[in-house]
Amino acid sequence: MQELQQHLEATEQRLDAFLVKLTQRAQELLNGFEQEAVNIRRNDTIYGQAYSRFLAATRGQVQKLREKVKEVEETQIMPVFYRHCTQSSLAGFSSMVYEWRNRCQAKILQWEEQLYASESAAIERAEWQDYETVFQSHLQQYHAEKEKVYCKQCGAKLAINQVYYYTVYITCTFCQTQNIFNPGTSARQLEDTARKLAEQRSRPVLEQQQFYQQRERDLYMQAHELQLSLIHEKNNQIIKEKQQAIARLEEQRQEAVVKAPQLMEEYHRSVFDELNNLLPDLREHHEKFYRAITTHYQ
Amino acid sequence: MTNNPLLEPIHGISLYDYSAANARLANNVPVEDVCKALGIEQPVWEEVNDLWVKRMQEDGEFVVATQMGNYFAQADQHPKLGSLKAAAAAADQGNLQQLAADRYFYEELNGAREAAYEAGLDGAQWILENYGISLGDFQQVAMQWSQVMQQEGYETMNQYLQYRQEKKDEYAARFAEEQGGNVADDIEF
Repeated sequence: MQELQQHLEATEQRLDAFLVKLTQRAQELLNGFEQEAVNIRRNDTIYGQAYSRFLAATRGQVQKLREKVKEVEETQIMPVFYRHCTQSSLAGFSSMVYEWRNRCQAKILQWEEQLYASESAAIERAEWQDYETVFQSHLQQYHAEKEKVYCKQCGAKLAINQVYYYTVYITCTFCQTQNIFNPGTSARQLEDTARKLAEQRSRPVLEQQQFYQQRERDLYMQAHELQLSLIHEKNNQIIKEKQQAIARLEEQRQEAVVKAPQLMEEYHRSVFDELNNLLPDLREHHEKFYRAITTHYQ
Repeated sequence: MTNNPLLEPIHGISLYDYSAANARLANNVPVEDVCKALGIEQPVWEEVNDLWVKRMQEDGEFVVATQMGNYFAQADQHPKLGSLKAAAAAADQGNLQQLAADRYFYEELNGAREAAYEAGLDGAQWILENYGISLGDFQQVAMQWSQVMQQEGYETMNQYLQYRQEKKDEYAARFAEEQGGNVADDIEF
């Protein structure tokens, strides 16, 4: 048994060291990604193809790190567990192997969660843009460009009094000739930029929603752990206290269960209110889109 | 479904017209040629395009998007757009036919494409360069296979997915070798 214990301890230490090395490598990768992303995005096409490829490659490498850990779990941890978990002839032997397996898996899970959080945060930082400035810039560019459009027939300046998001016919008010007006790239990007700006402005509501969503899960897990601890509990006083604690946690969890979808609805409404402010001529479409989204979410 | 107002034509352009037009545009057919075949001018096309996208956004049941996918797969049979091809689109007909007939070949190229993107390559361009199949043609065949997949059982689907994953791993290893390895190849347990 002592020999096995030493083997398990050594394997666990190797796992710790392995995960530390992979974390360092992931950090180097993500730091490099963030620095490089700035240059790539600056020189990219309007569709962001170069950045998309760069992002996919980075995600691919992060995935390789996950696969490496998965492989270690499958080849170094689980075979040891399966080999020894049923050998329960010695007292405490089986529980030692189970606890070791659980500790290793918990470490792997924690490592994966941290990696996911680091990856998401790096991508979010790399992609962050002040959409207030971008939107205003597109709008100003459109208004400047539409002032330089003249009738192909008589040369008079065309009266363009609204925002067009795609190519349209404009009739010359002087000679009645029908002209084709292409509003240009900035106008075509206005709807997309407005949506991103509306989401950015509504972000605090989404963060609140995510807080309650996470809180619901955390409270559930706390109550679940208390439930598990009751399985072998004999002391009635402790049982009573734990059951009361479980009931309190459940009450708080129910508040979060109600609050999270309410906040999601609030977030959607906020995004579409912002969109209506930014592009008031599309209000009717926004409202239909809002109904479709809320129907789907429900 | 036929009574759904979201499926009514827009300025005379039906969802089938719109879907087939998009299949052609995805295959690098110029928008001017698509408009000519449909008998409309570009401003009409752009408004139609904008309105069909808006209808999809307003459709909480995804009926329009689903039907568009079905029509996309039938673009070759469209009476006005079926025969329209890009001047430079000399697709490798042999590979394209194999893609449509051989599920294993289709899964392999899917795996290769995914592996290429994860290696930082343009997966669609890689398939075009190596197999002469454009993104538009590939997606059209993908829609045909998607209809087949809807009818097949879990085991069959799982078998093909496993095959795709195997191929993806093979191509990933190949791309990694070409690029000097993966980020943590030197870290051992």
